[in-house]
Amino acid sequence: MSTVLAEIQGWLAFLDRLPVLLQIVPVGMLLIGLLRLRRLPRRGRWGWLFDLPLVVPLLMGQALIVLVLVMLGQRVGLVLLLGQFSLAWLLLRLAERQLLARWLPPASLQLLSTRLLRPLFLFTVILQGLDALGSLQDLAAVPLGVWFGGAIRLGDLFSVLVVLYLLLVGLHLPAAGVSLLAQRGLGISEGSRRALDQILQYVIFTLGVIWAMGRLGFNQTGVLAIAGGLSVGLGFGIKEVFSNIVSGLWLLIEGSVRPGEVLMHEGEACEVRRLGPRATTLWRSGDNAEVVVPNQSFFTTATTTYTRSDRMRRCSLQLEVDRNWNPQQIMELLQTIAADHQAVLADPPPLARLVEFGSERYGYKLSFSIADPLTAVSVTADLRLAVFQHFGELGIAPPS
Amino acid sequence: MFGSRSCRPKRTALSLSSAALRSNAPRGPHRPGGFADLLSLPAALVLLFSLVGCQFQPFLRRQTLHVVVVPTNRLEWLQRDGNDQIQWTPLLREYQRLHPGVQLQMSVVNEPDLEETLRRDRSRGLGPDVVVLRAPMANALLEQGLVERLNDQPAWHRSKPLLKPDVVDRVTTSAGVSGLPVFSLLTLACFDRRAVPQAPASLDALLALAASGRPIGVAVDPIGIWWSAGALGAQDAMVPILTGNPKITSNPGPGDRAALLAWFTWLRQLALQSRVDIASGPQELVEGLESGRLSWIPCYSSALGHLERTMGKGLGVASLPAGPAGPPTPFSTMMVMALGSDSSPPQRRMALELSELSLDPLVQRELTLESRMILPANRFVQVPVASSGRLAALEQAQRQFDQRSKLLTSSFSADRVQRLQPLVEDLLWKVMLGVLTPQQGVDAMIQIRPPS
Repeated sequence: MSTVLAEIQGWLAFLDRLPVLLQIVPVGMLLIGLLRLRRLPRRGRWGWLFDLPLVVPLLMGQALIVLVLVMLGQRVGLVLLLGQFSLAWLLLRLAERQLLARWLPPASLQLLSTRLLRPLFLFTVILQGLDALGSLQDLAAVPLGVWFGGAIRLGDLFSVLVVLYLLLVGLHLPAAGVSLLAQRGLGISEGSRRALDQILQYVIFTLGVIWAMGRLGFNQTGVLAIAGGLSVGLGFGIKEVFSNIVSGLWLLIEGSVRPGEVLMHEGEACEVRRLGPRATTLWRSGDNAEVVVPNQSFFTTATTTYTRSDRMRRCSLQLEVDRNWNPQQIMELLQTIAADHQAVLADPPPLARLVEFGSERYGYKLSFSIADPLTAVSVTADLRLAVFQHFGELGIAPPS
Repeated sequence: MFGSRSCRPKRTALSLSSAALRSNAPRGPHRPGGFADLLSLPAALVLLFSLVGCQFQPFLRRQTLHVVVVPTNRLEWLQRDGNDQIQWTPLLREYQRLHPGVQLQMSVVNEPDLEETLRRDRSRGLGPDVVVLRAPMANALLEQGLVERLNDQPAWHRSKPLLKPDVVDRVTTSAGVSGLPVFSLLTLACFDRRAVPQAPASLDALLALAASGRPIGVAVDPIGIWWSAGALGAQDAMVPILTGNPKITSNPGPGDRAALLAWFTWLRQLALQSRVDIASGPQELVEGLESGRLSWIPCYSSALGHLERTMGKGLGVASLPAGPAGPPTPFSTMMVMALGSDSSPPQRRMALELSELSLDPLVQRELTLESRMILPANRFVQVPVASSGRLAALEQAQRQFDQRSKLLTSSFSADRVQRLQPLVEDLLWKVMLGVLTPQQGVDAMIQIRPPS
């Protein structure tokens, strides 16, 4: 670390040079001046200047500084470098707003921008800046000590972290592409495709971690020893977290809970949105809420799913009708009402049964099938209303 | 800025800075400021630099001298050994002892990247204070204005008497003196003592060694083959070809042709030996020797540290074999310290102090004894040859170089030689492999021209 600090201290020596000061002071003043200018109230015909991105007047100012310095016979390389950064930022902003915004939904664009594009820009700027101030090669060779038997250098650590970060944030797209290809090529179900997508991400990231350890020269024995110690810690400390991770992996491999499946959670049908390493995100259609459920709970308790073999759900509606009406007619009427609903499947057909004789009313049960399990509540409500209307038209007392 | 600039504006800086802070203090709902408010921060920025220079001077008292080392080793694993930096340790140690407040920040730039790196850094004002490199490269950089000429500095006039005139010639160009010579590296013979008890002293002995079943290696690069040109009398013919002297190229004399023919004939004979390995370059030669595949090779003294680590006491070092025309012409690299062109006056002063110190007799002796692979540039420093066979071989190679190597004892264009080198090497390959007869090789060599 002292080497890095010494390197940074060495950069300050450049401030001792007049050509360097003549470049960075005007650019610094320009930047701060522009930031302050933004705080002034808009005035008159110059108001449009306030609508421009800050980087535009910054670029114009940098060009002016270059012009003046060239006329004075001074160096301009640093200002040009800063100008390159400004221009690259402007291009990035334009690409985000003019190109990517047309192709991607806002949420995806925001993720792409904040997790990949802008960090990459920042990373490039830092590398270029370091390269300008000193030797990247020398900085990369700064030793950080010996970890797990491997002599770690700053460059190795940096490159490993960058690769792991890119894997973490950039894996989604290629994994989704491969799983889509697999779905089209092999004809696997949507749930299996999503599971494959997740598994691919886990596998590639794990391979990335193994590569990183190899790249850093970690001693396998040392890593195993640490892993052994860690497992004791896992047993006591973060047992639940680890249990959830293992449960999540198992559920993915087993395929009992997969993204896209519909299952019952606390009495309501929910769709599995995402099977994360620690928890599963469910979408509850009733109130459009997302429920985060620890993976372990699916692993240890029984789960009702409507999409294991197919997505069809058999629903039922129970009602009581005055005993004076012919049960056969009532059952046929109920079956007709259900068959008329567009969400009710014709096969298997709706089925009404007489399930109870009461002293005043007879009990009936109407069973019907729907294709989308998440619509069970709304379809059932529709059928109740239809029964009420039809009974009214025929003079039958409303069912109870 | 840190040292010589006046710190008088400090009070103003603090008061204005406080005003800027006060203006930013919470005062109820924010009211947009006027232009005075607008200018307060840029003013604070200007004053910040004053603070950097004055207020925090104790914190930043440790000054920095940026030194770029250009490795002489083009062999990647030799660069990893860090010899190019390690061999400067005695100088850096002594400088740090004398100037504890100065931090020396060393960085390595490879020769092919040097010009572009210096040009880029110069455009930004971020160039190094000192560049350590070989003399021809320093000459080329001086002519391009990428390093400062040294002959304007009093330090040069104090140091010049310590150098031999031919050493001074090697760093003198039409644009001035490109750098201060510090030490030289030379071509030697490296051999495996377990296979070759006594190094061959003549070219015939070398051929006899190969004939006896001991594998020897040569290469067609300057280090691997140039030494034999002198031993066979071809050096006088080759120097004008390489440096661009029109004497031989326009009207080659019979003596020049005969000398070149003798050299090429010997090279062809050498290549016909079954135990002679023609390597692709110095890396293959060194690897062959340390693996035991080769018993004798021409080697550069900068590789001795690496070879000693891998071969231990099995490494033998001697001067190169002589030939019918006299001693060999070893290749020599003179390492010099050139001044960067962006230094501030205090940095330039520190750079000159470092350069001057490099010729200090005590430092020169330590540089020589600690590395045992270089020879000092200070002519008054005695090399203890009696106690070290390796230093004795280096000293002898230096004598051979001083007496016979006309190519490098004068300033020449590194650019021309670098452009010509692949063509010459290709021609030598063809002669050795029999693609061209020695006579055809002579004709082709005389007509050789660098690509434009």
